[in-house]
Amino acid sequence: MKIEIGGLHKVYRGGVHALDTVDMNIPGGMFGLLGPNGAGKTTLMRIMAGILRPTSGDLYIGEYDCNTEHGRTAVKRIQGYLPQDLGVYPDLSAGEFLDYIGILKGMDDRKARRHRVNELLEIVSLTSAANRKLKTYSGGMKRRIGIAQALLNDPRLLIVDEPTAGLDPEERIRFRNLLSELGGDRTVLLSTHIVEDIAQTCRNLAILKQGRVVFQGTTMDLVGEARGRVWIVTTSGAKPQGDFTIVSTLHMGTSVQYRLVGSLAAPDEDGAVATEPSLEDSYVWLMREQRTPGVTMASK
Amino acid sequence: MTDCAGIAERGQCRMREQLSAFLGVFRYEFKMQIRRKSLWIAFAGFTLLLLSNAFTTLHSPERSITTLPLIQLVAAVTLQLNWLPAIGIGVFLADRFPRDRSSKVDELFETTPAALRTRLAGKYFGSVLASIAPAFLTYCIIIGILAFYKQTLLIFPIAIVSYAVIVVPGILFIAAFTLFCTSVLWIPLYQFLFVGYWFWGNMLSPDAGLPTLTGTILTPIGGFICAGIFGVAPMPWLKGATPFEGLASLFVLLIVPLLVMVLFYYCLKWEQSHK
Repeated sequence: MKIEIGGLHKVYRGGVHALDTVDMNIPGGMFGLLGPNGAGKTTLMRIMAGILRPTSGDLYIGEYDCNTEHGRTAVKRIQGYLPQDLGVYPDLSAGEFLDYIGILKGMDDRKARRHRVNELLEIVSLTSAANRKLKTYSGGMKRRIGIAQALLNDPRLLIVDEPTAGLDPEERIRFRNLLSELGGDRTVLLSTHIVEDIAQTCRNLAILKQGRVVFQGTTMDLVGEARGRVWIVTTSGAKPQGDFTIVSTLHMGTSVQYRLVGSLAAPDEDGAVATEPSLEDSYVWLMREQRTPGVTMASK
Repeated sequence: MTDCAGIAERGQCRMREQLSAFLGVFRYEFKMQIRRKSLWIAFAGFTLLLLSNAFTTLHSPERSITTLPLIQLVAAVTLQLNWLPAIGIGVFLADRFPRDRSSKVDELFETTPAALRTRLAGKYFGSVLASIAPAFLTYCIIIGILAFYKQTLLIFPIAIVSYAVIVVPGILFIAAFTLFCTSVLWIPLYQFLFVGYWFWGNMLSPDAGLPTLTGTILTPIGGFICAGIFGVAPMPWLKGATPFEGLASLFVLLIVPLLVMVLFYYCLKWEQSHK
């Protein structure tokens, strides 16, 4: 399912511009939406999910025009949404909560709904806790209930907002793998500020900053942009000089190893070694470049 | 899942989808409200209070209302029993709408095809029915005692009709205002104001020198319905109420909540499009 976004604007009450002329084409499969906090990722996700209305602009999801009530309702039938902060009724059990959401999603066959709820509880490994009230669930368990509710109607479009925030490393990996599997035969929009989550799951991504798309393309394209700008400097003396951002600092006994993105004043003197950029390095480089107003990159 | 692909079937299909959603919301709102321990504890207290009051009335020869014809007797008892449980219902309904916002489930629901009006109607009727259930149980206990005292089972159908006509419209009235008002007011403040309103608008005598809704057809306790339709006026200011006034009060108490809920829906719809 393709998603086409054209000139999307969102201005909140009080004049806050959350999205500013966003143009984007999202192909099927996993698609990552990356950006710093406050970039407008959640606003964009919420518009796509039908929670917010854009101030202006076009949004087509598949053949549906989301500027019409009919289009929005049609999309709601085929989408699953996992919000950043999942709202639940604490006094309902996981089974009841999923049943309730299933009803709202139009699953009116009780038997089929119950079967689907049990199937999803199995997938997210919560069968044994199905009858426990949600107020007794940990953050990770709530996230898993969140993904289960999003998948209830077997959606063709899955929108997940910061799904791995607050999860321990093992759960994060599990979650990422689950999303990757789901991305095989549907469109999965993954919004996050954790670069690693995108690196491990998405081939295509867009980067938002201050409500604008500053990059859209493949992860390989993004990595290519930063090639030749990532350095490793190992020194026991003073810090290297130049216009760069330190990505990591590793203390190694008597010396310190820096991973830098940008340009060094004297790479040879510092013993700097150019290295292959990771997606995180490339993201850091792009964010640095964006500090210069008017620079926009789009690789298509 | 409901298949709404066919153009010819779309309207019917959409209606079936919304009906199913309404029944689901109704069921779960009912379930969540009826499970509240505090609701049952409060109504157990009300029952004890009303029972002691009922026994006092039945055994007091000066204040006895038991000499009234059966229909009037039941109507008078129904009205007398309504003043306290209705407060409980208003207070316990106060958190039903705001909790959806504070827990953010309303946003999750907004991403489903269940329409806002469907969810609102399901919430309204489900939570009202659950809130009324313990009050109705209290009523049944007292009516049971009265049936034993009067040695007739005929009292039960009369009681059901009296309850439906005198109590239910007022409950629907306060429930609609409760849902609407708590969308903008802090819950404890609303509960405080509601208790004040209940005494001001139902119990304060019009002769007390303060302007009040008491003695008008807008009185949600059902006094005008009781006096006008059933012909029994337990409060002095209800004497002389005509059947027309009784019917007018019934009509107003049913139509106003409908208008309030429609207004509430449009306010929420407006808010949604201006977020």
